[in-house]
Amino acid sequence: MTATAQARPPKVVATGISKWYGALEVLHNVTLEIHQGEFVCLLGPSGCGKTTLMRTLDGLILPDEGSVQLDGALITSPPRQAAVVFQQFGLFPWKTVSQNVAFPMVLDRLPPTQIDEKVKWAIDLVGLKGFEAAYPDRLSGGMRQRVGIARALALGPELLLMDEPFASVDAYTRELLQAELLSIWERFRQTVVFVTHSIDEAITLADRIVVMKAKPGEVLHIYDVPIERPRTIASVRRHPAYEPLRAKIWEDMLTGSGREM
Amino acid sequence: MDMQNPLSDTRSALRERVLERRQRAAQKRRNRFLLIRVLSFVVVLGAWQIYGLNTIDLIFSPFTDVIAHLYQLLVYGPLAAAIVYSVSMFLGGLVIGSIVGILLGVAMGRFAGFEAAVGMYVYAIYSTPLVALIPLISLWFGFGIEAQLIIISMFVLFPVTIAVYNGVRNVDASLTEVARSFRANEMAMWRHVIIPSVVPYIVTGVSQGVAMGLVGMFISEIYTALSGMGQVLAYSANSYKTADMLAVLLTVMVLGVFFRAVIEKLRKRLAPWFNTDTGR
Ligand SMILES: Nc1ncnc2c1ncn2[C@@H]1O[C@H](COP(=O)(O)OP(=O)(O)OP(=O)(O)O)[C@@H](O)[C@H]1O
Ligand SMILES: [Mg+2]
Repeated sequence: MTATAQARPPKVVATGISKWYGALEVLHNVTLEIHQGEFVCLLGPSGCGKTTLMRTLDGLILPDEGSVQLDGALITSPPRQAAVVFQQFGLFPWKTVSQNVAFPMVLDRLPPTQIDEKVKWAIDLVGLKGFEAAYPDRLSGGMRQRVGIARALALGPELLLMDEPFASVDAYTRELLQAELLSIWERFRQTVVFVTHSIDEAITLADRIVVMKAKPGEVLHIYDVPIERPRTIASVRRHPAYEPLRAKIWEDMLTGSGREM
Repeated sequence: MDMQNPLSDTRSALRERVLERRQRAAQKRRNRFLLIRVLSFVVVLGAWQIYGLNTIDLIFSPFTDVIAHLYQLLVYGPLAAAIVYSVSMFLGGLVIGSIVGILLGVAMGRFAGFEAAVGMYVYAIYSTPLVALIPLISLWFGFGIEAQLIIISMFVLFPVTIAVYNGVRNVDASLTEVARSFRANEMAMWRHVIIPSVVPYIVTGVSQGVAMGLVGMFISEIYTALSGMGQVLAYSANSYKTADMLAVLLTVMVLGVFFRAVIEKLRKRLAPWFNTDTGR
C-alpha cells in the first residue's frame, strides 16, 4: 500500500466475510480495507464470488460471518453514500434515459428542479446529450452503460461500486469507456470498487488490485499499481511497471485457478 | 461541463443523421406494408364479389349485396339497436372480466400461498369448455342480463388472468435488485418495477380477452335469452337470409378489428417502450 493511501482514513472495511449458498462456500474469510478516494479493482476468475462480495459491500445481502463497515458504520442495507453500476446495465426498459438517471433521486424525493439539473449534468458528463428521451432498447451496449454510469454519478456517491460494467461491450467501446471513466474519476476522486475479469483493465484503472481465487472465494494477493496519474490508456501501456505487474498477476491467476498447484 | 471536446459536436450531428435515416427507412417500410394491405383487400373483396355473383343467393352473396343488406338492417332493421345492446354487454363483460382477471393474476403471481389455494381451480375451469358451463349459469342466474354479463366476463377472465400471472412471475429479478440497491421501498417497487413490467402483459391479456369476449357475447345471446346481434344472426339464419347473416358477421368482424386497434393504441400509450411495429 502506498504511503498516501495509508494516510487516508478507511472508507470501507470488510472484516472476515464468509458467505455460503447451501453447501457452497462462495466467500471465505475476506478481509479488505478500502481508503477514501481510492480506486480498487477486484480481479478474479468467473465464479470466484466477486459479485457476491459487491452485493455484500452494498448491503444487498448480509454475510454469514464477518461484517462490512462504511465510514465506521455497520452496513445492513444499501447505504445512501453508495451507488452501483451493474454488469447487465440494470436499466428500466419503461423509463427513458432521463427517467432512468432520475430514478434514484426520485426515490430519495429530491425536489424536481434539483433532479432535472443533476440529470442534465450527468447526461452531459457521459456524452449522452440528445438521447434524453430515448428508451434503452434504442441504445447500443456502450450507450446503455453510459446511462448506468450517469445514474450512479448523478447521486454524487462517495462510494461507487462497479460490477464488470464494461464486460458486455465491444473491445473498442470498452477502451473508450475506460478512458472516460479515468478522466471522470480523476476529477471527482470518489472511492471506487471496480470488478473486472481483465488484467489490463485493472492495471489501467486501479490504485490497488485485489486478486481473488475461486472455490472458495478468497483474497489471494493485493498489488499496488505504481503508475502515476493522470493516466491515459497509452501512458499505462508504455509504463515500465506495466509488463512486470501484468506478468505477476497473470501468474497469480493461474495459481489461483489451480492449474499450477 | 468542461468535458466538452471538439469531437462531441460532430458526434451528435452524426447521431442525428443516423437517427433521421433510420426514421426514413421505417417510414418507407410502413408505406410498403400499407400498399400490400390495400392490394390484399382489393383481391379478397374482388374474389368475394366474383364468387358471390356466381353462386345462388342462399349459399353466398356478393359483397355489394351484403353491403346493401347491411345498410337496410342498420337503417330500417333491428341491427343498430342490436349493436348498441351487444356492444354494451360486451364492454361490461370486458371491464368486469379484465378487472377480476388482473386482480386474480396479480394475487396468484405475487402471493405463493394464494396461488397454492386458488391456482388449481383456475386451471381446472380454464381447461373446461366454457360453453359447457352455460346451462349451469342459466340455472343459477336465469336468462337475463346478469347471466349474459357473467358468461362474457368468464370468457374474458381467463386469458387476462393467465397473461397477468405470467407477467408478475416474469418480473426481472435483476431489476428488483437495482431498485433495492437504490433503496426502493415496497411501494416504490410496485410503482417503478412491478406494475410497469406487468402492463404489457395486461394489454396482451385484454387483447385476447376482446377476442374471447366477442365469442362469449354471441354465445350468451344465443344460449340464454335470444337478444342483440346474436338474435339478428339467428333470425336471418332461420329464414335463410344469407346476405343478412353475412352482414352481421361483417359487423362483428369490424367490431373485433376496431376493439383490437383501440387496445393496440392503448398499448402504445401505456407502454411506449414496448415496440411491436418497428422490428427490433
Ligand atoms: N443466489 C445464489 N444462490 C446460489 N448460488 C449462488 C447465488 N449467487 C451466486 N451463487 C454462486 O456463487 C458463486 C459465486 O458467484 P458470483 O456471481 O459472486 O461470482 P462472480 O465472481 O461474480 O462470477 P462472474 O465473474 O462470472 O460474474 C457461483 O458459483 C454462483 O453459482
Ligand atoms: Mg459477477
